Amino acid sequence: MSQFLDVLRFELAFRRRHAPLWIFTGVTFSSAFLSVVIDGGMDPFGAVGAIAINSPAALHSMMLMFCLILGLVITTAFVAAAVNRDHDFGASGLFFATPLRKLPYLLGRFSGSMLAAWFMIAGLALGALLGSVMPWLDPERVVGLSLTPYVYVLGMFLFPNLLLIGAIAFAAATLTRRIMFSYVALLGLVVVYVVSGNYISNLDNDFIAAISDPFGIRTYEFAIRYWTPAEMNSIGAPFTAEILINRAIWITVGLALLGLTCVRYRMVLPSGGGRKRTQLDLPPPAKTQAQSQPLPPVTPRYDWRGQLAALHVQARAEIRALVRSTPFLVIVLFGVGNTLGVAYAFIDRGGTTTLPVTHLMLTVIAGGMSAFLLIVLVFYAGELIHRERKYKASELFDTLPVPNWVPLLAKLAAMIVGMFVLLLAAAATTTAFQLSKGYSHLEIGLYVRNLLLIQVQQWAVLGVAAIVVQVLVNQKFLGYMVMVLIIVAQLALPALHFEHHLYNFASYPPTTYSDMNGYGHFVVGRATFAVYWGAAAILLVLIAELFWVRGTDSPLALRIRTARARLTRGRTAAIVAASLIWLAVGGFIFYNTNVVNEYRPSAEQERLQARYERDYKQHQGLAQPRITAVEIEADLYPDERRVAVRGTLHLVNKTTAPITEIHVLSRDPKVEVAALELPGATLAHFDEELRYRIFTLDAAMQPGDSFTVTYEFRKHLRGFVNGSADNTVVENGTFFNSMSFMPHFGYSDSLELTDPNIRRKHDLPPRPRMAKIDDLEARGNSYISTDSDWVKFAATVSTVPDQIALAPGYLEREWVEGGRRYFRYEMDAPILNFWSVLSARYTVERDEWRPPGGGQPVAIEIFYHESHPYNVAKMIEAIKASLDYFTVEFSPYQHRQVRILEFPQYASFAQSFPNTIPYSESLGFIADANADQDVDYVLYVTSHEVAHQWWAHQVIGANVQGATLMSESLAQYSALMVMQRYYGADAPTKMPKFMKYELDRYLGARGAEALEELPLLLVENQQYIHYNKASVVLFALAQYIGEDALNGALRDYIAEVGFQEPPYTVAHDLYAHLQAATPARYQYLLADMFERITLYDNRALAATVRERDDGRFDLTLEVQVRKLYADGKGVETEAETLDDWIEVGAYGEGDAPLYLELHRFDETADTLTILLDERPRRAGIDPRNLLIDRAPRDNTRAVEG
Amino acid sequence: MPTTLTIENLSKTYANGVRALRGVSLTIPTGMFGLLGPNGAGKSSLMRTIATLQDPDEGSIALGDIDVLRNKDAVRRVLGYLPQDFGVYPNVDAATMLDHFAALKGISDAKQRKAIVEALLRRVNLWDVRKNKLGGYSGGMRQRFGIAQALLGNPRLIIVDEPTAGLDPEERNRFLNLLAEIGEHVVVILSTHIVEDVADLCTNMAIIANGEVLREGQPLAAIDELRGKTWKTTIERGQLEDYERDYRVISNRRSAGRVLIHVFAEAHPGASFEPVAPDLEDVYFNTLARARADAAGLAETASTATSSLGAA
Repeated sequence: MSQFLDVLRFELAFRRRHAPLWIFTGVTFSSAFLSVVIDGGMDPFGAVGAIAINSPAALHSMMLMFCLILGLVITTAFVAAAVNRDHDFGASGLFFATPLRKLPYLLGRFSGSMLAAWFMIAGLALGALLGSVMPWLDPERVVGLSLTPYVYVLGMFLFPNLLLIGAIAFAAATLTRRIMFSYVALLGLVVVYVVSGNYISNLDNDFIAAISDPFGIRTYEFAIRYWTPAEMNSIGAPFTAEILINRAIWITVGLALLGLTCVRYRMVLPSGGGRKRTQLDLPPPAKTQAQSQPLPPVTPRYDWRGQLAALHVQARAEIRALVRSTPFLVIVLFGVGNTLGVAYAFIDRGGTTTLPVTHLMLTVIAGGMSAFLLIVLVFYAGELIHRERKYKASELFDTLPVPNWVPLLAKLAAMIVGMFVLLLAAAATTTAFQLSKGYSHLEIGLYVRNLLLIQVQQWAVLGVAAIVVQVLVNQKFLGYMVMVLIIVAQLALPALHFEHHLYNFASYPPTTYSDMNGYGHFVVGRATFAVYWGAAAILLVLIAELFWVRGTDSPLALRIRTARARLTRGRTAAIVAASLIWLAVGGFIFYNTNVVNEYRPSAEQERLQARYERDYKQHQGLAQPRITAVEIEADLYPDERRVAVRGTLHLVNKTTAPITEIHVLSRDPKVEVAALELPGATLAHFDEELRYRIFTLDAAMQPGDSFTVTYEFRKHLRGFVNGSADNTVVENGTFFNSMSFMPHFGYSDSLELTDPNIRRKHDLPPRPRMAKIDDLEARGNSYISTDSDWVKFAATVSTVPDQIALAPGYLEREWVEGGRRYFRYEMDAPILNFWSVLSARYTVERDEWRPPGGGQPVAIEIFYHESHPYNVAKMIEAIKASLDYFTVEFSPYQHRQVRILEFPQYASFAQSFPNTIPYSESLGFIADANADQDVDYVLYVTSHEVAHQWWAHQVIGANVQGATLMSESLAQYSALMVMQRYYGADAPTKMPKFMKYELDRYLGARGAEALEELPLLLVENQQYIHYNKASVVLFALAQYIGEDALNGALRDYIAEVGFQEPPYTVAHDLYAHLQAATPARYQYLLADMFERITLYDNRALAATVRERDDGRFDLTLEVQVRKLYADGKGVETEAETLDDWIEVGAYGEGDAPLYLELHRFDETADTLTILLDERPRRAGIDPRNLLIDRAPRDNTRAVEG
Repeated sequence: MPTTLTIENLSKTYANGVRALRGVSLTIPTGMFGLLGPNGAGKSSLMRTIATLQDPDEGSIALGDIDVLRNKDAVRRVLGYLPQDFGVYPNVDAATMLDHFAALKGISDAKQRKAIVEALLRRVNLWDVRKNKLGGYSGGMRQRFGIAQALLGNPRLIIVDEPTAGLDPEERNRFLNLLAEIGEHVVVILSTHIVEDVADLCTNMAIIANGEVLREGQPLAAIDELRGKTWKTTIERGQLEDYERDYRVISNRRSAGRVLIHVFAEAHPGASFEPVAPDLEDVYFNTLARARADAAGLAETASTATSSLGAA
């Protein structure tokens, strides 16, 4: 024991005098401190909206993440060196010769360095603690100080994590006596972490993923996944089953490894007595007579060909040394494993998968390999530059007659080839993955283009930087640190609102590949940036060549002198040339991003929005005429990325007062207003920056009066931009809508800043997310439009001859004129003023749907990209199934046609316009419909969008709370019913799988609520409520009151409010129909579902079965029934009384229930006995999860007995 | 064409303040040139400077008509350099590594390269183990590999820095034989602190210590100077200090429990002394001792460092 303490004391004393202890502690402290105090620093850790900056949940996430990043390096560096230090300094012999015993030696060293590592990581807690009491923090964004979260995270996560990391590093380094292997072993641990994470998105495996995460990061996320903001802000120390199991597993692993190390370690020097390898058995005897033969003649050449030959040889040697080194091979192996894991995760879309199309696989490579590329980049830059010195061979090499650029370029080549090999291995992996999934459309050309022109190029620039840093810094570990700082800066700059890529090293504007449009309009920008950073890289290489260290004496002053001496005329010329190219290309970029296009950092964008509200909010509610008819002529020039829309709008004063002022807004800053003519109006005010115009009418417009506005809006997208490109007008796959290409009348609050924290920053008053449901003025508008109701619509669209252009309406005429192709579309019924125009080279699939009872058929047309035929048939099937259901259950279809139009994956949604559904190529078109999926994605999305032809295009809610209940929620319900009918006999097994994801998404998203959660009836365009919660609620309601009763209520509701003029319908109107259709005993349920936020905590406590004498079975079920009501922040209160009908079920071997009946419960605990014909295996309460339950999986349990 | 290496007034002070070279001037003709000096004398600094690895603060070096300091690349083309305590890549075999060096020395013709690699490996007697990893080589084999790489590409100037340190006597002999053979036509500088290496091989030599050249010339001539002036006697251990005060002790060496000392004196120093035939070692130690005495005289302080040096 005393020996142990001596060693421990020695180790601690050694550490205390060692600068890294204090440096790393400073790093951890400042990382946490800055995260907390910097504006937005805690955003990545979930501290957004209502979640406080120093909420325990956000602090825990932050510290866990930093512990992963910093802990790995710190712990390994310290612990792995604890014993190896003696070997490296050749001091082990000295220690082994003392009477020191093994255990005290090993454990003392380990504990000493472990304590030091713990000390350093505790800097995180200290930094966060101190940061969260800084006086300048927004007081509304912090919660009161409590020590619990800090103690908890240190004790439960950070210390055990370091113990695990330390034990692995210690074991690997001590047993192999090579520190390198501890890094390799830890890379393995990281791979375990990554692979484990790939299971988290699948609800069947997420518990396994949670307990198998070695760092506990996802364990913690899993434990708090359904927490509300109130809980995230208050619970400092959760001890859930998964956290306890996870911690127990990994602490045990750590201790076991430590034990193993102690058992296996031998306190002897390696055989051979030193660091040398085993020697050859016998030096060969000298032969004396072999001496006098003359050496064969050689003719060395030192011209450029000789130098190139030298470069060739040197590069080959460097490349071989790199790609054949053990760590590199290990990294490749791990990278391949990780890429495979990412590939599986990437095609998984929560219960469904997409096809492994090549552009997705390229994203997989970029994501799966980047960490490994970074490791190679940083680590091997040091290895390559210091290789000669490491092996003491530098004096041999430095006296060779080769110029400095030979070794420099050879090492650069090795670096680039190394990264290329990694990418190639990843590409081989994803190709194999595609084939294993039966997908054979490999697109090798796309692989080559992407890898060579984008990924290799991008990494090569960083690789050059890493090499140059090592040359300039000339100190391996300092070089590592500088490179890591550069990479961190690269990531941090945009977060700190330094968004221009010109000064963010090796960064590029985002580039999206689309099967429809290829790299399209991104090519020029990307290529220009490639040249820009390429020139910068060459410049760096030229500078590095000047400062290349050769020889044995290299103080800074001497290096500068040498560099100056090396600056010959040729080198100066090269440097000037590279600089000129770099600057010229930079100028060209600046011209494109800031002159041709507008560069608007996000802060500037915020400022504009704030000014818009301050200057014009006063005009909200000002009486304006409304659009009643729209006629457009759109000329599309896709290859020039140019479009001109000429429109004629018919406006009517529908108010009861005369109108004297017209306010016109053109919403899209890239649109040029070429003409805007209001008869009898004079422009009184023009705000160019915000594109807000005020016209005064010469003569007031009397109620009922109308006039016609003509306009021409043009857009010409030129050059390239710094940030996200405008992807609406592209070579193949143009898709724009009425937001950009129509003037809007009156002030629209949809352009206001919404984030309450940002609003406060701009001194804007708190803003209701939506108008209250009883706001009568707001009911004058639908939530789609502020300046129109139902309009007549017609469009003439022209495009290039090989494309088809589309707009809502029916194709009346198609002709060619002046080398252009024209389409005339006319709508036969009034529509919402929300239209879109598309143009692409389409393949068209046509079909039609005939109503079962006879009548007018509906034409079905799918316009798709030729390489995406996979799910077209399924879409048609889904449309037919939807029409079958909706026309019978709800109301007739108002159009004679349903069209689905594919557009490039610059956006990934599907959106329903009248008789027209634009559908992103990334959505249903590449969904894998063949596999046995939990969720039939194509069927679901298609029927949801078709349902919008009813829920939005027949019934549209007023622009108040609850509006999306009548569109999104009912479309969701409609899709569910289509799916249920489509599945037929499989529905009882398939529907719950879908519902499980809906419930999970609802519960998971509640915690990210920025303002307050609202009941479904008052939903304020909150997706997790109007999609996910509504799915669960409406599906359950259909089970309780019956599908027919529910549909009857909806039918009546459409009949009442379909195609109505303002004031528009509100959720209360729908609710009244639902109430009427609901029996009295379920009225409580309806109120729980729509008026309140209701959460059950139902649980099967015990389930036992006893076989009776007659061969039947008595199932005794002990259940808990708890019902909680949550407020908008997630604070829960127990329901005072219970009078609830809840399903009780029992299941045998198959999926079909043996028993499934509603029971009435009025106590929180109850015991039931049920007589069954077959032996039950599982049983419980609410087994189908019809009700919203935060622990849905404990509702049933295995039956005992 | 015989070449001469001329070093003039070379001085170097390192960034940490160490004055490694103080006005070193030497003329080194073709043939083996021994550079003798104790550890830390500045031998390696001098060698590295000649081998273009570092620059002096002052002075000049010329190899024939090549200005070594200005035209490093020209020197490197004719240089064979075997540094002190060099390493190699442990995972590469000798033939591959030598081939690599050959290519970097400008032998870009593959056929020529193959021939010279084979000839050199045979010459240094590593042919049979050419496929073995260099990491497994013994110290002597590694030195022989080192000389093989130094001989690549017709060097006119060969610098070997402490090549025999750490070699067993047999290996050392083999190595010196090799060196002697190549030293006939080119300038070979052999730096060492082992006197015998120089005595056995070199036609010219210099002794340097503390960054200064103490003596330059031919070993035999230097020995001749001491003839008749070198005496030896055996004394008790405790007496050494007295003798060092009273005589110019060149060296002392333990011998059967007592101490054998060599003393320099113009005339017979006393009855207990008997004359001894001087060798190069006596020259070396005598030179060092005189330098120390001068230094001590200048500083007017007593030096106590003699015994430790003598033990070398």
